[in-house]
Amino acid sequence: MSAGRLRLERGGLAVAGWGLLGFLALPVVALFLATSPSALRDGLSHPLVGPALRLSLLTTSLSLAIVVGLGTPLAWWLANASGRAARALETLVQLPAVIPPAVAGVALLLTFGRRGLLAGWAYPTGSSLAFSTTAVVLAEVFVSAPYFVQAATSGFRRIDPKLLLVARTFGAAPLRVFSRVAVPLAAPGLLAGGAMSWARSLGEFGATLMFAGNLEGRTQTLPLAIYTAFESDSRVAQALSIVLVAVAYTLLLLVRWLLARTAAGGEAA
Amino acid sequence: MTSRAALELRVEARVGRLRVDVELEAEHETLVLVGPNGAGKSSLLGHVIGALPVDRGRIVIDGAPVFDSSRGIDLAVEERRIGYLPQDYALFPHLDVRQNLDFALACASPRRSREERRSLAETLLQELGLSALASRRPRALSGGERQRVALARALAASPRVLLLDEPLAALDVRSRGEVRAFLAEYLAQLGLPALVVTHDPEDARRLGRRVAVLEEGRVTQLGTWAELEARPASPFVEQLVAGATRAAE
Repeated sequence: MSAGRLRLERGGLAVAGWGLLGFLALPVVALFLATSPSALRDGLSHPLVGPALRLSLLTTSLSLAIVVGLGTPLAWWLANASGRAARALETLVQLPAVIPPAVAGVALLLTFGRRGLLAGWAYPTGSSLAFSTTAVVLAEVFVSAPYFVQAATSGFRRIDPKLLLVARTFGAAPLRVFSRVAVPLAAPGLLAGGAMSWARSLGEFGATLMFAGNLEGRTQTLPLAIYTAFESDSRVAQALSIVLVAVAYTLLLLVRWLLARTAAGGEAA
Repeated sequence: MTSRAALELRVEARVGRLRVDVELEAEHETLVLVGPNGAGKSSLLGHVIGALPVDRGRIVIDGAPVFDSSRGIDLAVEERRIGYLPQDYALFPHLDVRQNLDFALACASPRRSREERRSLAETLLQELGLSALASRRPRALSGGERQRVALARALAASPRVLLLDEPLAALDVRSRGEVRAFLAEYLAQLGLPALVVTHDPEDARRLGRRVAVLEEGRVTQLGTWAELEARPASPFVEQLVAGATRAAE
């Protein structure tokens, strides 16, 4: 192959890759360019911002706690289970990640809403979970859990089965094998999954809007506040968007740093 | 089987296409299991630990069955008290040497206080010459050191039987001779029934007093190394003793 051809092919690949990179970066750049520091300050002092920020932090923390608390044992079970039924259940757990969020919202309403599947025995008084802060948390758990469970399941599957078997030969009870061997060894997977799941919760919009509504102070999270503000004052929407981008980017950096540290710690050990 | 050997095995099982049908007894001694690849040696250890299912048979340790198909006895891995050292030793990479031992101690005897466990761990570490390495993680140890940690950890759980799967295969050629000599002597002193799986003729000759040859899931010969040399029962045994002779020259 001639040197010219080599250069051409390498250049072609680089242009294709950089083309996508540019497309991904440009909207973020535009967001920062369009918002001056004073506009950012004004936007962030808007009355919508404080309650939405507080609600987002509260609901995403709760949903993350639920997802990690219940998702870790589920992932452990999925990682150890074999057979067709287990594979089918694993696919089912992934479903909320691929269905449109609006569909998730409708499904949640049809389950927990006033006339939903559980209405008869769950709400004898006629009220329902829908359009409450609890509904926001449920919507976030529903859409974000698959990200955690998938990462945690792969994390558990990467553990050398001999380590678990040897632990059992010492007489280790299942809970001890899980907490002292499996969880520490799968920690990088759990951490990455937790971060992805939290980021998904923080950005959750469609399911929350359908199932919890857009009530200021009760169900209006940051993405819903952006949507509301965009109709009246786009500067507030821009300022909030910048906050979300900054939070998400910091989170990504933190996860990468933690993962690199875990890997380096393992190598050094 | 009518005698009361320290370890009695009668195992009939299927592993993939291989049919395992093994009958063995061991006193408080090291019995070496040798055989070609795929003969069912490592699988047999899996059956004894309880990690692989057995169709029919009995596994009796010091007169107490951990498995007996005729009486419906099948103890879980956790209840058998069998020490197992896999080929790569399976040390917990996130724990240091002392913590590895403490894990086994805490599992096997949960009523012991932290101080008691610590002093037991120190005794074992000292016995195996590991005191200086107590706060190192497994990655920072040599192959021979890892093996000693795995032995110490297995012993910390007070096993009634020790199973070692290819204990020298993970070591480089230079350290193998030294570690082999240590292991042979240590196992002999220990006085526990031990099954050691190997495919290496030199290991088979040095590690135990008796050797059981396993071919296609069956024991084709059982005896001392001298007996194997004098009357090899199969072409594989002929090759095996020839291999050890070559290594000794």
